[in-house]
Amino acid sequence: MNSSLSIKLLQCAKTFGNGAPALEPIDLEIHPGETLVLLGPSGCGKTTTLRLIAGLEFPDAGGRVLFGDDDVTDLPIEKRGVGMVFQNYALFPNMTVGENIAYGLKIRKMPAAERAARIDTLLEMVHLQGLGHRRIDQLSGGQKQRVALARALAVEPRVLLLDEPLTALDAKLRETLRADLNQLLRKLGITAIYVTHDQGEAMALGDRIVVMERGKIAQIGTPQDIYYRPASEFVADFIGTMNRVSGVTRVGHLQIPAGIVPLANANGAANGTTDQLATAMFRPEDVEIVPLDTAGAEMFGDVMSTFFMGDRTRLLVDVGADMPVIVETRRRGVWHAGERIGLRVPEHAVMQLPVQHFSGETRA
Amino acid sequence: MKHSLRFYLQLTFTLLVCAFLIVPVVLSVLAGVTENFFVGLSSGFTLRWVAQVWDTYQMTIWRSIAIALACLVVTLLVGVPLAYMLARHQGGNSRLARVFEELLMMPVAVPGLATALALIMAYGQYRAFRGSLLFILVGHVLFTLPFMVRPVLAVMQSSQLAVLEEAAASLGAGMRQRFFGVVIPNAASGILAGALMVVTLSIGEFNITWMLHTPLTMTLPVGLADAYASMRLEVGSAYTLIFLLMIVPLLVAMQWATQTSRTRVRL
Repeated sequence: MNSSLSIKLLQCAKTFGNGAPALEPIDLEIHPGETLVLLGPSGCGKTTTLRLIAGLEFPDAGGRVLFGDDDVTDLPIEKRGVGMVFQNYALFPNMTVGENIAYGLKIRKMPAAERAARIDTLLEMVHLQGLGHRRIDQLSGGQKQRVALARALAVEPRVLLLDEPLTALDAKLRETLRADLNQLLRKLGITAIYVTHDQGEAMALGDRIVVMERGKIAQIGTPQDIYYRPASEFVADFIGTMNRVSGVTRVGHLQIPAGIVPLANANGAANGTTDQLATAMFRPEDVEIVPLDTAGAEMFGDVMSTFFMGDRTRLLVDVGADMPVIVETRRRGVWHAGERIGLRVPEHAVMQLPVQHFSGETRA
Repeated sequence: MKHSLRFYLQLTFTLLVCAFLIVPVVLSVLAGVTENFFVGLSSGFTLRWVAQVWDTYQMTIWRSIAIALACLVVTLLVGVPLAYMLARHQGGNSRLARVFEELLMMPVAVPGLATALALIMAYGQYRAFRGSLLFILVGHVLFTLPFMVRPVLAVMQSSQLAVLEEAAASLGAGMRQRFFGVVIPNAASGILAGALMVVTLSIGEFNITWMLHTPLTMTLPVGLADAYASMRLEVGSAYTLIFLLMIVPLLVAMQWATQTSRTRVRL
């Protein structure tokens, strides 16, 4: 907690017994004091990456793990000084809350009086004052994870590793705990690595996010980078909802059957190559619904279905493409299936993938 | 309350089966405290036979208890680490672990006489060993070990032990600290169930022991056979009574232990 630690993975790959590579060789640097989120679908290698950093798995030959300037590649977890929080809490059922929290301190042979004081401090830190004597099975899921967090922080680890810590909790609790966790991580300034498959969690907690796909890093960046400037189709699809329309490039815009989409950087046009097949992407919340007869309408479509979600309304609009365009609006209004509406996407909200990914496997 | 005819038929059947099983036990116990069983209960009750058994066969009782306790110690020392190894290796390449577990059950499936004969053929020429209680202990350990490993393994598999150990390791605990501080306490219910099972089975073991014993290493069940074969029926029955007094509390304790372990697992 005092001096933050930087972590480096150098060419770390992991192949399990059955021969299937769980992780292709990756390089990753975690800055001191930052919260780095490893995000991806199950089986993408995010947990394997975390376990490599923890020392619960070891990289294939050639891979190296550095904590600051120390090469810890061959050190097992108990020698690495990490704190870890698990999805299923992993609290010791044979110990009370206090004994759980003090376990690491006891291993380090801290005197009992000092331990007791430390337990109180930690319980207060995770808002569980006075519960030190409870049995583990008397706690709710949220409380259990708070105890697990206190236990991991008790030994003042150099890095905090969190493996889907909120996944086992229900939605409301998850949000509260996420907020507390966020506050705590900022306050402590500890280097933290957080694994999740929940993009909301990733956005809320991460200083930077590493999106992973099939054992590779798909993109590293701030939450804004990832959301507004996805580096690949996979990232675009995985994070949030993304509309995708295909058409032909013209100067300054993309011509699609139902109208036009402005292209700011107009890749095709900039290269002097118009009349190319291209795909543009935009987020549902960036689409504006405009009256049919105004000059602002750039696309037209028929409403297929509407979902009122309280704070917003989600519309599926048929623009004559394979997939309907999804529109989310905070405007109060009622739209009906079959109604024809005008749409407009501001130029700055339109994304195009870098060209190298573009020619690859395209799922139209 | 209206119960169907079917209910009463089932009840009658159940009671009949119970009676069928219990009556011999009751008769045997009664015979042990009756003056003369062939005359009947009218001959009066006595503790004479119990006292005679105590005088003649006391040593077999102490011997059986000693062997059972030694057997418990050995199965604890061997069985708990063994279950731990099996539990840890059941993840990836579990084939070997499964085969090993099956092999472990072999002495239970193979008739005790065969096991005993094999032991005698292999180690019979070592006179001192052959004539000692150790020889019988070996037979008992072979037979009871799976009954220690099984319940311990079951508890270890059901209580996310692997993750608990990872958590302990992340807090700096080494291999030994994890085993004694986390693994053992969390497998306690299985260990207790296994321990009671081992003691019960060892005290009652006859097949293997009968083949392995010498007149100087006679155990309780073997003594019982001896008593029925060579003494009055009342003496054998009094012997049975003493045996029951030893074994029933163990059985009750075993029931209690499995029950608590089941509640633990549910939590």
